[in-house]
Amino acid sequence: MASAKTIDRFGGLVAAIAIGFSLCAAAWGQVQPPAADSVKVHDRPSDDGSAVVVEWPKPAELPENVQYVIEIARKPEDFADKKFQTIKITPSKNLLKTGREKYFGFAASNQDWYAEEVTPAEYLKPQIPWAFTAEESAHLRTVGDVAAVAGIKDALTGLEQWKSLTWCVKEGLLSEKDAQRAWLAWKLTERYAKDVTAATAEATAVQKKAEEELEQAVEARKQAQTAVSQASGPGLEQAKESLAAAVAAEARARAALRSANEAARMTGERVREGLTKSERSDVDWLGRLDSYLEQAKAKRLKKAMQEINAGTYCYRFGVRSEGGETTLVGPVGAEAVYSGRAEANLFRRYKLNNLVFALAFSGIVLTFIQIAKRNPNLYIRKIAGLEAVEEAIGRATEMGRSAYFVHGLGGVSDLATIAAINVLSRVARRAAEYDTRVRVMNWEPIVTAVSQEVVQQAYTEAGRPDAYDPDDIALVGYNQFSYAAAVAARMVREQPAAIFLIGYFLAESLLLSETGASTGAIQVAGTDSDSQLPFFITTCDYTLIGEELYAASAYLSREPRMLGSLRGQDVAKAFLMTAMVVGTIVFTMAVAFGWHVEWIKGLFEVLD
Amino acid sequence: MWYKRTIPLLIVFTIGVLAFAHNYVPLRISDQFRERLSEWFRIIGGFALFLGAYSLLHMHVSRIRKQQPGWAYSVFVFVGAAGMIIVGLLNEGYGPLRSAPVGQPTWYQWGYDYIQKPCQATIFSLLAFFMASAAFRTFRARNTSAALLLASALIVMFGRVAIFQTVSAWFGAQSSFARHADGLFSATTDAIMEYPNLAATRAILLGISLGAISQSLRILFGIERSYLGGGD
Amino acid sequence: MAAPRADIKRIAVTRHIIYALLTVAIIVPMLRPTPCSFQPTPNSRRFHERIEQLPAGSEVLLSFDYSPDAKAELYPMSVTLLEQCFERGLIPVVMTHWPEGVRLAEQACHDVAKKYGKESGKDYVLLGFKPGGGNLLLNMGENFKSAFPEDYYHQPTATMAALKGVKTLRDIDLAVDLAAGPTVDMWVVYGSDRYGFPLAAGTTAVAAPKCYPYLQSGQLKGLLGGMRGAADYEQLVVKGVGPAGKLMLPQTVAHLLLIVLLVLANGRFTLARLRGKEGT
Repeated sequence: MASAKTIDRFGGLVAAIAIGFSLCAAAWGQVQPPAADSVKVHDRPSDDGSAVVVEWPKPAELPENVQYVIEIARKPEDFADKKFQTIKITPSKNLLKTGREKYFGFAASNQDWYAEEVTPAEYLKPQIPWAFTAEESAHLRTVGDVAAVAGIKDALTGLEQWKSLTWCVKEGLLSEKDAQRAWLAWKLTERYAKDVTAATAEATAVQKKAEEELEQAVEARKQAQTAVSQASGPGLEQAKESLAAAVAAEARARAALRSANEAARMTGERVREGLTKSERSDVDWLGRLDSYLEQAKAKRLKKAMQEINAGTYCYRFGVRSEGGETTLVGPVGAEAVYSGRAEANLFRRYKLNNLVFALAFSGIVLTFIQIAKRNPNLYIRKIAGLEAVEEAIGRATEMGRSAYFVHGLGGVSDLATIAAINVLSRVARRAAEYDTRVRVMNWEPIVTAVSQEVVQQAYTEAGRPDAYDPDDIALVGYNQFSYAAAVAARMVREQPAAIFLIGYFLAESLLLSETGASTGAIQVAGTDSDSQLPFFITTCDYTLIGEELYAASAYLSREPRMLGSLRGQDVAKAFLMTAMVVGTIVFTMAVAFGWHVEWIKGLFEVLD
Repeated sequence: MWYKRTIPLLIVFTIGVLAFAHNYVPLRISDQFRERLSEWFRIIGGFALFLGAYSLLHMHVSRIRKQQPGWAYSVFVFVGAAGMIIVGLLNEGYGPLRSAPVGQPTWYQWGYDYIQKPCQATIFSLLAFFMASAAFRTFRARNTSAALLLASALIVMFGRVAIFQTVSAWFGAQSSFARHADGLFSATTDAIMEYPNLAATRAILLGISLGAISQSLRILFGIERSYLGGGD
Repeated sequence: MAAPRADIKRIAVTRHIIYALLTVAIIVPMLRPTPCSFQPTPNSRRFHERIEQLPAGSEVLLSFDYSPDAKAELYPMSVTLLEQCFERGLIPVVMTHWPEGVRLAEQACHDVAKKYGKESGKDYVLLGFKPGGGNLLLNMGENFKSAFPEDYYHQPTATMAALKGVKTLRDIDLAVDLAAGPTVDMWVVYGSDRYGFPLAAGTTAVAAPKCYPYLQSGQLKGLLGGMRGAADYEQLVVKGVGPAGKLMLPQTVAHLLLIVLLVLANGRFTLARLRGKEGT
């Protein structure tokens, strides 16, 4: 038998083991918060001043079920008064600074830091007064004849908060008279909504019944058909009569279902017909008021949130395990409080590379424009399509037929349309000199107006203002395929000798070019719509591909400044081609030799 | 007159620079500027509709008056326009200022569903015929590049549909050779689309983008002025 | 191409023969359909799986950016997309940038919702058309409900159950642009790149090659191209042949006809060239 001493020792040992286990268990789910000076709170860079960033180092080991905690308050005293909001963050890969290069850049050390973007207004919500005060209710009661509603205060507290009329009157959104009207219309709408619900339920029941009857009628018809196929002799006539009756019954059931569906769709309208004209007007007015108040509320909330985001707030940081207490950064009783303020930045830093390239490219183009002014004989390669403009107009003149100019679907803000207008002015001038009619087909009204001006000017400069006919430049259709149909029909009727399809085209490109080819006309096409280029290349005599269209104005005018811009564009293209070749080689070698070249990728990365 | 040129060019330059700067400035005023600009753009576009309608109708009146070839079709323009305007204004008795209840059939909707939609679909479906005749006329292996084009076209045509399986089904067979052949053509088609086609598309897009920037700069600095109308 | 009158007449006769053959090649298979089996392509599977991965309750934004002329290719895609959404318990939010697309969107939503017993405002939302293009996307990216204060049926979106968790485009779990035109570029530039939501696209066959750069760069998470894409998608969702699948047979026969004509034409052309060479 064990002695008392042994039992004591054994009990002590068990207790020690138990305490040890519980201590280990307690320690198992815990992680220590980072050092106070390693936690940083600062403005989020390159933004409109709507958020701050709280960042802290990522620990080497992170137990499961641990969360980070950020507490946000308006003043340091609010922490003691428990007037703060808590944000709980579960660590994940998305919490790392990597993956958010827009704000934190491409530094390798980003993978060792967590960062949380905090928008203060999401947690410190704007205060908007909701309920009536006694004075406001009393005031409303005294205004207008509607105030004979002694119970108005009680009734109004039944409204949804955001529709609170007192808020609207206070904010100057509604006059008091409108507030009363809204109240009456609100009551009316409640009744109207109940009526609609009841009518809808009734209509749905009718629909369901009609569907069941149709199902039965279809089943009966099928049975009758089977009976006809199986009947013979004298029974056949009877079976056929039954089938005819079943078919008629099915048709009636279908018609009944159609009207039930129609009635269900028109339920709201039927109930509405039961209201008086002024009641209907009130219901409509309340619908518009709802929409207006919602937008007004959204605007005010947005403004209130912007004001909140612009403030300076206090933050505390800590960690907690699931179901456990939060351990804050700093000694107990003197936890670290950080201060942070979101500020609007003047520049999106992550777009610096974009800006540098844009300015560099612009600088190159402008430099070459200056060079071209001094040396106007810049070489530009032959563009067959543009050389063929003269040939095409000449052909039209010889054959005594017109030339067509089709702008395509672009508006005047599209670069392809502007380029097309350049070509049009040259075509029109040549046509005026050769006394050839040029018809311009437009899709967009402003392009029509610009085309008319351009052609008129061209005729005037050619000394033939009398030959200009404004009806030759017209809007032929405002819809893609009506435009295509109109142009194609005119091509077939008038049989032009030359057709210029220059601008932005979509699916109608092949319709136009193939119709033009069928007339035997010489066709010159040009578009920046790469999906339509294959169609033009196969059906047209000459095609301007992409940037050749943009080069048209420089090519045709031979103006030094424009030629200079083309040269600048080519230099930039050469740079890009070199960068692609060199980049491919460097990255291939980086994979082979393990070089760290991500920063090069970062230089060209477009962040948005 | 100098102001007819100078003032529009100044407006273009100022708005262009501000719109460019908007991309780089995160301030709220920058967003408000963009919103205001797009509102103005929509308003101006709305007014342009009147210009277009006038131009269209004037052209057709002229054709009818001069009895030009095909003038009878111009009568249809007026019949269609008048019909849709009248039913649109009547709006099943609700008038032009209110909308008919959603779900209620209207004559305007009928015109759209049973006249405009079928006409649009018909014109679009002409593309199939035109594509066939264009391909037949122009896909000849005149030289190496034309031969390559023809070969790619044939592979893609095979790859987009299951020709071998369909033909073997006509003969009542379920051939695994047919399945593999269709799969091979489909994979080759995807490879053509994802590599050589993609490379060419990207190259064209690069060129177009650079050309667009260059043209935009010319417009911004007033070097290119044709959009103002009325010559250089 | 510019050609003499005699040649034009000859070409016209040939053209009309081709049109007649093509008409027969399309109509006969439609009147006498035979089974046409095909396996979905990897791109179609990728599109389908992208939606399958979404948990129930996810918000899927569908943009019906096409007009009735592209209905044959894109409407089956749209209907199948809605069906997959309803079957998976996803919440489709339907809008359009094209005014002609509204009726098509309404028809699709009405038909598919009726089939699955779904309710507007609760299980799906039809927002309708709004002009603005890229600016509309920017507005939706800042405040979704302010961009669309009401849905197509004039119900306020602010209190709509289906849009409960949606404040901006960032809250969208997947957007799909069903495009007949250049709207995919707009969705990439003003939508997914800026606000970080995943984007997929269904396009006509002509527009599909233009979307491959986005697919390869990962800006598009899936792409369905043309009738084949629609038919593949129907096979994966409906597990059978739908409207697009039925049109694959006429398309197959038309392709076959075109291939035969091209081979014949090139054969004749080559023979003529060889004879010309032999003669010299």
